[in-house]
Amino acid sequence: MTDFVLKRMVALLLPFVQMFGLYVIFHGHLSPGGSFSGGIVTGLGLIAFSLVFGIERSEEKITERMTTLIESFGALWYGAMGLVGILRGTSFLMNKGSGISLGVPGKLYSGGLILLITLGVGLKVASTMVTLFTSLMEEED
Amino acid sequence: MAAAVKDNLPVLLIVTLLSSAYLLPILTRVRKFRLVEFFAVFVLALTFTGGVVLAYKVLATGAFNYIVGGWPAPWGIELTINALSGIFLLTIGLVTIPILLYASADLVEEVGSRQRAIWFLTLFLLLTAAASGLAVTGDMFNIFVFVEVATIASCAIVSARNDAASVEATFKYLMLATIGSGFVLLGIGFLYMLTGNLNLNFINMELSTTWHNYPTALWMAMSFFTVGFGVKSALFPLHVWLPDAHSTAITPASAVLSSLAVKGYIVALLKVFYLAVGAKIIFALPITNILLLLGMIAIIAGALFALSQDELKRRLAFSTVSQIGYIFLGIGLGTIQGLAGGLLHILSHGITKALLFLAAGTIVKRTGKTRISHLSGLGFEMPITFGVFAVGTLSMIGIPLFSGFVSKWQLLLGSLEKGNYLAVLVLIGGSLLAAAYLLPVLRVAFFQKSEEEQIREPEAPYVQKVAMLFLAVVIIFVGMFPGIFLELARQAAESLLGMEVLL
Repeated sequence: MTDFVLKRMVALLLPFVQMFGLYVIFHGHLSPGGSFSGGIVTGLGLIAFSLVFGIERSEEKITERMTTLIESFGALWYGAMGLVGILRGTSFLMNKGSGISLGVPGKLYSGGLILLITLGVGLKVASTMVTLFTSLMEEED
Repeated sequence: MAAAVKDNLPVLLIVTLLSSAYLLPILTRVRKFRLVEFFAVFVLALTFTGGVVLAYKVLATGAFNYIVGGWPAPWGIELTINALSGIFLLTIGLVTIPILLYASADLVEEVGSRQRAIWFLTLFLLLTAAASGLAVTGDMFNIFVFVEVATIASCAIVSARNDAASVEATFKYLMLATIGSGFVLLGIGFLYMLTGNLNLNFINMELSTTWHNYPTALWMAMSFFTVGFGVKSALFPLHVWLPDAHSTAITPASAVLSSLAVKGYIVALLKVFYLAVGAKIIFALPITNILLLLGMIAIIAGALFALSQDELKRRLAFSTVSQIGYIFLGIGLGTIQGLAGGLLHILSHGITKALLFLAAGTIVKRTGKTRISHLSGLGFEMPITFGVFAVGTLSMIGIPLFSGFVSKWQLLLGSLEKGNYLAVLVLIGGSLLAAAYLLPVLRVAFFQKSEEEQIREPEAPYVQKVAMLFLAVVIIFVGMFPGIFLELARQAAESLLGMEVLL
């Protein structure tokens, strides 16, 4: 695809799409949406880039190994956050009860571990979208 | 630290398995692949230890609940650990460890590349995690999640080899399993609509007072669950995907699918029936009679289909259809003795079928012969492989001193106690048919002279022999010292059926 208009539009929109996706992830506990919807928006931004600029260019930006790493990291991060409760002597995924400060209601940091957990899930969902897309693209051989 | 691990054991089992499954894909740079495989086996051994501890705790102090995240039951997630979980966790450990040990010998060669081998290990651990999850989960939502994880993992594991036959089998399996998931989801939706709860105990409490108001809706929900889990666990008329999927997959995949994956759905069905809906309501509906009938048909029809197959792995796959019938017969009897026999058969069929598939895979791999009639004279060439195959055969038929005898004997006692002589006949007929479809393999291998000159094939690698011998020892151990397993199965049946049915 060598369309000038398409390339300019995606180049212009991409930062905002990514920013919006990250916004939705980080505000999962405050506003509608969360790690799943935000992760998908972030992932779709990367997919739009590789659709318009070609899969080789996007491979230069994020290698397949990198997406696999992020994907595994997201899932492991979730498990690690769950273990915080156990390490503090309470049960798995325990948040306030295991002595984590909940922050000020309504502010960005207001859910204890929830912000960190949604970050992990968001990363996982975004990289899964990219991995799915690249494996479907490579299917043609 | 030790106390923290012990208190949180139920959730740690699942978390360990899932995290290790996600850790594996980033281990591609490890120079020695053997280390990765060793890590996977180590994780399974660790969780098996956890399972044994949980089973012991249940035997000693009875069932208990674990609350995730500190939110109590109707709001939060609850894990319920009872004797049913105990017996299934034991099965998972006893089956998966030898299978993965066996797989580690030639995994890269079997699936094509190191990348694919790592994916196989990931799927294997995901399947184990889903099965453990089904064993300990205490609410409908998590039952659905783990059922889905198990379905996707087992579909993908079938196509590990990526040849035409296994991809076709995967597609068939995927379609039917997805239809099954749809039925299960509808059933869950119905129960949620009736009770407003997803927690099994709360559904039970709600239904016990209000079910008279909605008998038809409840009946619908139960039939959705039966059909949905029936498709996934290959109950006879719904088994059509199983022979292809289990016979075309690579050896360790067929073993784990046949011995573990189909059982997880039966455990989920039992949880829905007896923990959520409750024995009293289940017996007011004709559902156990239907399961009893289908189980009996499955035993005979599966065995007859197995008899007509000449390909070794297909014969074993149809034998699974027949043996699943035994488990459903036990559930259908609806007595403590019968259900205990059915639950014990989950364990004894698991270890037996795993051993048979591993031995069959070794035979096919080493000699290149897939048909039983071509195996003549091979018995003395590969004494260990055919020796453990003989152990598996005797256990499958139900000869005393082997594990199959214990569970079939319990089922027989259960049918006699219920006065159901048709079931007694079917059980004995099923055993005779099992002898008829498995003994010829040994007869051909040991007592038939081969016409052609045999090329001396080396026996399986050391690790594979150890894995198969381990399973054979477990089968004989369960057959000779069944006490603790019987006790566990009995306690599970008692806690599931409750005190209402002491007839």
